[in-house]
Amino acid sequence: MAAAQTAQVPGSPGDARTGLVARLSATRRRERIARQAEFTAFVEAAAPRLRRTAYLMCRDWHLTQDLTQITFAKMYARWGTIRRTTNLEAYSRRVLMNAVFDQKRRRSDSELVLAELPEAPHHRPDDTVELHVALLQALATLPIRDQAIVVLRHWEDQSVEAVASTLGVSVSVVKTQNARALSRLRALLGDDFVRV
Amino acid sequence: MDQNLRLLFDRALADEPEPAPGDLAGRAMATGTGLRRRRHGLIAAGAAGLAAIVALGVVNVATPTERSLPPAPVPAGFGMLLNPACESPVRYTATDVSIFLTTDITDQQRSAMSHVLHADPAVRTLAYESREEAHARYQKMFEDAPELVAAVKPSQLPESFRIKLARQSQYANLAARVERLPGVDEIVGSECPAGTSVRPAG
Repeated sequence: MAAAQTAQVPGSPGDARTGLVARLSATRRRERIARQAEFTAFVEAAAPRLRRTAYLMCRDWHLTQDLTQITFAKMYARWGTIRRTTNLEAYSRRVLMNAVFDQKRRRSDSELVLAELPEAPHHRPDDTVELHVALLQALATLPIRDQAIVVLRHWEDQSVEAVASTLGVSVSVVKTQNARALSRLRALLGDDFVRV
Repeated sequence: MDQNLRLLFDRALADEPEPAPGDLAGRAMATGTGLRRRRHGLIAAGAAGLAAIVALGVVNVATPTERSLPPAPVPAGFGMLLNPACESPVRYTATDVSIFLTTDITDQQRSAMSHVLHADPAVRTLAYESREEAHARYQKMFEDAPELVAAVKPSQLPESFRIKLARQSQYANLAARVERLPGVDEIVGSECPAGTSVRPAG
């Protein structure tokens, strides 16, 4: 045992230094590969959820594809910093919502805005329109941030606190806007909504 | 209300088309790298910074104070050898422990470590994973990304001991006993759902 320990005494400091430099450059290469592998795994795990949330926010599968792509690209650009954060999912939601808001802002000039659904009950979507379609149409009439609150709270099942931190607003804003948004949806969709 | 909304959202998503073909992650990496370059401006500045970091790294690694540093998060190279179904790294709630070995571990050190772990009361089951086994798992995990598979050789992946703890809450004790053994590179605690283990499936 004593002999084995003697054998482990490192060589001269110079040797150790050269070995270390070689090891560090190999390590760096290895880390880059590992980083890509890790990112690929993250994308595979997160893409389906992110895609669906994006769709509920924009109701267009092509745009959804773009928004998802933008979100992942932005995350990869910062991967070195964020890959060690405890909650990548929460981070991805924030990046996605920012991408949605950006996109909305850019298109707001040229966008063909869906006509506001009138609140009068006789204009309520009739029975031929399926309720989930009507819901998305009604959702589209809300301010974009309120849409985000509804989708994060009721589709992603996020807590009020989590939604607040994702959107960078206070907890009380989430609570009041959520309540307001739901009552507006209820008003737009009428009895059917309550019954389902 | 919440129930209703979820149900309706589910229905609204029922007509989700097949995701567009192509490698989402690959495209994101290409675009993301472009974004990063643009943000960082001069790449040369970055390279200089990197050289400085490497130089500092040499000093840090060369000084023996390394052990007193606080526990680091899971380095990426180890992260991909952990079952993604488990949460890592965790300390207090760990059910599984992975001990990654240094590249220069001797046979003697390895068998000494194996003996110590076998005898440790915190260890319920113990499995050894060689570089080749790690590589086989890695290949399986990334079979959809041939360029990643091609880029990694068995010699670049660490060998490891994979442990199921007898009880949760024993991670800290075990880690304290093991971390000073020669040949230990990194100890990672993972909380795995019942019936799974920290070794990636496959």
